[in-house]
Amino acid sequence: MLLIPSFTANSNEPPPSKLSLSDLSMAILKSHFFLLFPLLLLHFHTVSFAQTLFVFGDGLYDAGNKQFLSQNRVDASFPPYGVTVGQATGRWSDGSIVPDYLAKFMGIPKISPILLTTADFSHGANFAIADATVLGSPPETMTLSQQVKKFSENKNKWTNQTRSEAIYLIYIGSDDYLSYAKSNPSPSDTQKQAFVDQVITTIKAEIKVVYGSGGRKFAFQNLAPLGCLPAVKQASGNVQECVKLPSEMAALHNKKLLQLLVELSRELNGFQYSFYDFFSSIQNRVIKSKTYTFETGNAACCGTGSINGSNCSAKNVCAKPEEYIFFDGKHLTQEANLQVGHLMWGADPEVIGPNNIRELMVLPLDITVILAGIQEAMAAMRPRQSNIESLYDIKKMESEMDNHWLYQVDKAISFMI
Amino acid sequence: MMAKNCNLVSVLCVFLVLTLFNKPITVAGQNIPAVGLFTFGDSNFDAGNKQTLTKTLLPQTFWPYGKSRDDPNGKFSDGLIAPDFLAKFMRIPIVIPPALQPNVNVSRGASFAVADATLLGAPVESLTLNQQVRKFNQMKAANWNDDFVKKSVFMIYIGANDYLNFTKNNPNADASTQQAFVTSVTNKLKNDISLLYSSGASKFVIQTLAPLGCLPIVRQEFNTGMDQCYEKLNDLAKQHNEKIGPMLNELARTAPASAPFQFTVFDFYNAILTRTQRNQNFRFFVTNASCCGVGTHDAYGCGFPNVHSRLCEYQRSYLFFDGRHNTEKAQEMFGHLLFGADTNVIQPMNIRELVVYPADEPMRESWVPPTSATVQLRESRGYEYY
Repeated sequence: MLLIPSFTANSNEPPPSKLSLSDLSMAILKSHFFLLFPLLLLHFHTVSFAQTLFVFGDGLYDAGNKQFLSQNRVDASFPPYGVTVGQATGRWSDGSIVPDYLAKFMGIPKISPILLTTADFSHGANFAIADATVLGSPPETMTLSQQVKKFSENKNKWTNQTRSEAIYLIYIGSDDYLSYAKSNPSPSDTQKQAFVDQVITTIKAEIKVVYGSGGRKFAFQNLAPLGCLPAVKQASGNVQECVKLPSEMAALHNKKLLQLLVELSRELNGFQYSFYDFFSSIQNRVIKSKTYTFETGNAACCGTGSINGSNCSAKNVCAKPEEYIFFDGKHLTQEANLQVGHLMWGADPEVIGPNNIRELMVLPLDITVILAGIQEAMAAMRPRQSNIESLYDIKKMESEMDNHWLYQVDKAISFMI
Repeated sequence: MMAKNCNLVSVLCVFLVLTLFNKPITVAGQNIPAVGLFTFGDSNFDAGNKQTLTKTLLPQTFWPYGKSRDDPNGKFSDGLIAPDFLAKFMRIPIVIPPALQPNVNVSRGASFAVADATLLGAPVESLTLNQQVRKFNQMKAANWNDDFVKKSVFMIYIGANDYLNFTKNNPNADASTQQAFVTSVTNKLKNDISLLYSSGASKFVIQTLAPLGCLPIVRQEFNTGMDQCYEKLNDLAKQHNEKIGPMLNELARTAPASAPFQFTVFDFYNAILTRTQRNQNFRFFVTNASCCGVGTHDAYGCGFPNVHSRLCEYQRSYLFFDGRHNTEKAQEMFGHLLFGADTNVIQPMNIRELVVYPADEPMRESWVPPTSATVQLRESRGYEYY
């Protein structure tokens, strides 16, 4: 049962072991110890070792789907995209993207875009595509629903067991909120909440469809502080500060997304998830770029305008993409993706919780009571000891989360670069 | 009838006996008093002091240090260090800050440890233990009252750099030169501890030296291969460690009853050694190489701007994050050992017991050298101590 990962020479990571009780017990110990432990002793769990990855999302995760749906030239299919790896593959970066690194750490080959029908999908497929949204019906792309539909249409490519053990990686919503902010420059709090609720409701429905097809392990990357994207700052005219509204919408979305996952973990039998705080990771890197080995968190590597926020082309690409967080106005460099990959794979619960991807990969499938104790650092919540279905608990959770995310947003807009 | 009376009598006896103890010692439970934690020594306990003393950019303030928490903050780890976990167990609600940084909250203690610290000599851009103690003295009046200091825990880990430098400068030192050096180092340690004691501290935790020859950077620099440690440095560490217990017994014995000297010794040497010898039992896959760095053991240059270090994917599989510092996962284990382990790991008492031991009571136990029986047990396969 030992699977030898096909790493490059760059790794001295030994082969991952079989599921060890220690991994399991570590995860269990994070919450509901007293309830779960006796159950554990009675129940013999199905060993799990995910070797399949399904990717859903937008340009951040697109591995080359866009060119199949677009009549026009797709920038990511041409240099300078892929410049660091010597080849433009349709990825919106100078090199590898987060799903590539996670696949590597899992020990499987890079996951191919589903629309490239000749590719090998034995280890999963990538349904993400640039400009994807949750709501609406934007042209030349696939909404989350359409991506999930595509997955359902193709699901017989994989066995039931494979689909159950697989990891479902999702990053979506940026384009929804960016368009919303553009067409609603001063929404009221109620309007903001209502829009976020719409997005979350749709995400919930789509998760349930995937769950219905056997999906159990869901990894969500929460939204970046969208107001800090070079494209957004440049468009606003003030490149010294992150734009407030898009970041606020993202923070609100992130809060509700976490609540959704907690809810689903109680509603759906065997539902497992990892929630990665990408918002904080990007914020850290934008504010303290040098600490994270970047020269700047403000400008993009490739593009025109005061911070290279738009129109990336071979004529205006920087000499050293690894010094930048953003490759073009909206997407990350390979270097930033690598750091994100490391964080998602192996960081502590403050960064990705309740389990990191490596733990999610080996979590036994039939755990019924889910590790939904949200880490204090992520959501400022007290560990729950009792049934959380009561309205009071959700409300309390909301009010405690408020402080965390909105504080983050304030930090994101108030610093001078 | 008779039986009933006996029971009643025995119950009454018990009550009588209990009332005779008018000075009960509170056994540690949840009643950890609100005391402080002060740490001294080298990079193992440095909470961020080095960056205030160096003009160059410190690698520990850059990614991938802090990788587990996405927070490079000057600590020599991918996340928290053992004193942080210990502080959590002691119910200290704030992070123990680096004393040399401005505007830090030192109300529950501070770290005076600085990377590159030694006992002897004058380390560059660092402070000897003696200088650290003096710094503590300088800050004491303004920050901590005498009672707080008396009840707080003072933890020290120092000496590694002395022996590493000695070995580098005296690669062919003979046994007597080594012994002489160990004597001078441990004498200095004794003096510095006495200085700290005279400043009001009364509860000391001394962590013995790691098997220095097994540090990845040492294996790398001395080309020991993947299976061997550099035994000369392990010998020096052992010689040093053997002197710690007796030295502290002496200090406790000679302290006046009005100002007791309380201490405990954490056997860090064997904590590290067993993790390298039986790594699977401690859930480490790699214990002879680092998670981050370059070279035969990936031990050099983590965080250096001009070094393209390898970075392991899952740092929790590793015992060492860089060439000589442990991963957060190992640090958490050490925190547990320090706080609550048995006397074969930390003796004569663990920190949980040390914290609640009345500060004006002399210790009734002393450090005991390990017998051959305990050594045999430790080395037998499959016997899980911790």
